[in-house]
Amino acid sequence: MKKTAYCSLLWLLTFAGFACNKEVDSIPVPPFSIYPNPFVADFAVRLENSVPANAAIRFRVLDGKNKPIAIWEDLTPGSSIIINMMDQQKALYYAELKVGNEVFIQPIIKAK
Amino acid sequence: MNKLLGLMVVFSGFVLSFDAKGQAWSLHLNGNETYITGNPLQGQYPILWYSADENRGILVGGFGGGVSYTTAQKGIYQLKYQLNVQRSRFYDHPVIFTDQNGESLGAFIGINTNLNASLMAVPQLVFGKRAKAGLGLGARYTFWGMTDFGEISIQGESTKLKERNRALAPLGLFVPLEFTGIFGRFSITTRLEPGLTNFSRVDYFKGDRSTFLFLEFNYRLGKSDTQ
Repeated sequence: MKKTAYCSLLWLLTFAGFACNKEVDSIPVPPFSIYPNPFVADFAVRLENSVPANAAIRFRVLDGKNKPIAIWEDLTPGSSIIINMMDQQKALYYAELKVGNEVFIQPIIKAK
Repeated sequence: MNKLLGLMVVFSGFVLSFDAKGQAWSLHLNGNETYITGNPLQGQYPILWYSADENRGILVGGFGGGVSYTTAQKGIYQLKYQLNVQRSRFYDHPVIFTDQNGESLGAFIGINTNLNASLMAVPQLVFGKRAKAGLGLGARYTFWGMTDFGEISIQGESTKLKERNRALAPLGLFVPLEFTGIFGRFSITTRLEPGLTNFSRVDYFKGDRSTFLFLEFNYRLGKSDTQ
């Protein structure tokens, strides 16, 4: 009985593994930068020059529920905009850039 | 509050006095881990670990408890209904921190903590008095989520970055697969709960699935013969 219990526990612990994975090999860097991040009231978005100028570009800021808070469709490569989020709550948001059919995303943090 | 206490007393009395042969109520305590498939940038947090890195010390992951009702055994079959409530944790999507000038400060990994409740029905095969296995269907409701990125200095002020995270899908379905070793009234269960539905509400992460791994300690109530 005792032996069975120890064997079962050992098997369960081995199976459960108490695994931990904090390591990430690489992070995809989107063709835009957000700064500062985290931000307090507003942040800037700069589109890289590598984005093709003739592609359809759409930039959105999404809340966690996938609801757009802000949408820009007239961005051009190399340009910057300032987005004011003063009225939004302290939380995790997502900056999303769609270039043609390709989508890039970057989590952003409202710190206060 | 008094009404809730009264209800709990009535429920406890019902559970403890319920003595129909072959049926059983059990209490459960669990440790759990969340694995996310489809997104290699999110990682599993340990149930319990010690980390000397970054002065992180003892890491306490997901844990919770629940109650289950098992029907009378028919041949080698029985059916279990289980309700669990737990805290779950995982390493969230890294965030690239930048300063006012756009200079990168590096990528930071936050720890997501969420509270969820799950309800499942699990048909079980009973192998003698020592073991049983089950495969069923369940639903999970996540009612709160937060990602902790630690503390940094913003505009010269130390700021805690505990951020409300509403991206977790509130309702999801899963397929519980479990194995149980029985030792009298006590038993130990390992259960996998692979998700069938999206883990995130954000379109970009559509297709990401969660698999919860549970290590559960169980205590059978009442005088029933059912394990």
